[in-house]
Amino acid sequence: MKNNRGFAHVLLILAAIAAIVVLVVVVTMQNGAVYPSPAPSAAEDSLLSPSPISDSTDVGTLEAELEATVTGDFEADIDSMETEASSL
Amino acid sequence: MFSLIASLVLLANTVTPSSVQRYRGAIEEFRANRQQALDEIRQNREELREKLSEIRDERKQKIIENLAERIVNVNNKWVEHWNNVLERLSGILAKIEVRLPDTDTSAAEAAIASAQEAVNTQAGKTYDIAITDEETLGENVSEVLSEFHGDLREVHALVKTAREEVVKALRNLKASESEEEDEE
Repeated sequence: MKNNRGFAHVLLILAAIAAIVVLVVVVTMQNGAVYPSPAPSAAEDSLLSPSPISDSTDVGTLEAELEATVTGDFEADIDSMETEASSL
Repeated sequence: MFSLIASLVLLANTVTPSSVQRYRGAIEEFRANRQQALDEIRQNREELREKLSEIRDERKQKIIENLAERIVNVNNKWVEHWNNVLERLSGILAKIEVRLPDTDTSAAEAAIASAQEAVNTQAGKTYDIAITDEETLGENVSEVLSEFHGDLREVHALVKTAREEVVKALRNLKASESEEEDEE
């Protein structure tokens, strides 16, 4: 009797886990999350626009402003798109 | 962007008005090209949706649609960024000229102009994914991505060269000022 009650508890827990899994899958599919998101990736969002330059002609300021003017690296964006395309 | 142009105009006693006008002209061209590309993209989007309806695999449809959208977003992001970079480089170069009017900045000016032209051209570009049949989808997408990659690489190289030329101009300014200090 004691053993049967224990077995019933295990079955109940397994049923609950299965129900949660089914629920998560249904919600995910409804949101379209099973497909790659059309929103820009983290790499696409990470580039910040540089702040405007000052009127100062001081050499130190010029150096700092030039240092902050970065051309960036676009390769991560291309890699990310190539990865997505590879699943075609 | 306008604040920089305004500040450059304020420095007009030392910065040649023609360089400011040239910069304004480049920005107008950038905007016109971008607008033209946006109109084209809108039209292409509709055509792509029609063609995609012929693809039976819904997952592939979604991937193609996402990739087409991402190419537009990535291109916009980088042309916008490089346009900002060139705007800053022009401003920094103008300030170098203010500080040392006799310095030769023609190489840097030419490099910025060349990079700006490339950015403007890139702003007007669109990339169409050819949809013929499901079997060649991957190949067609690869071709478009490869073309896009090559184009960005070329523009990036020109923007990098422009930056390097401004770095050289600043180095010349520093060398010239330290020579003057030594003479004193």
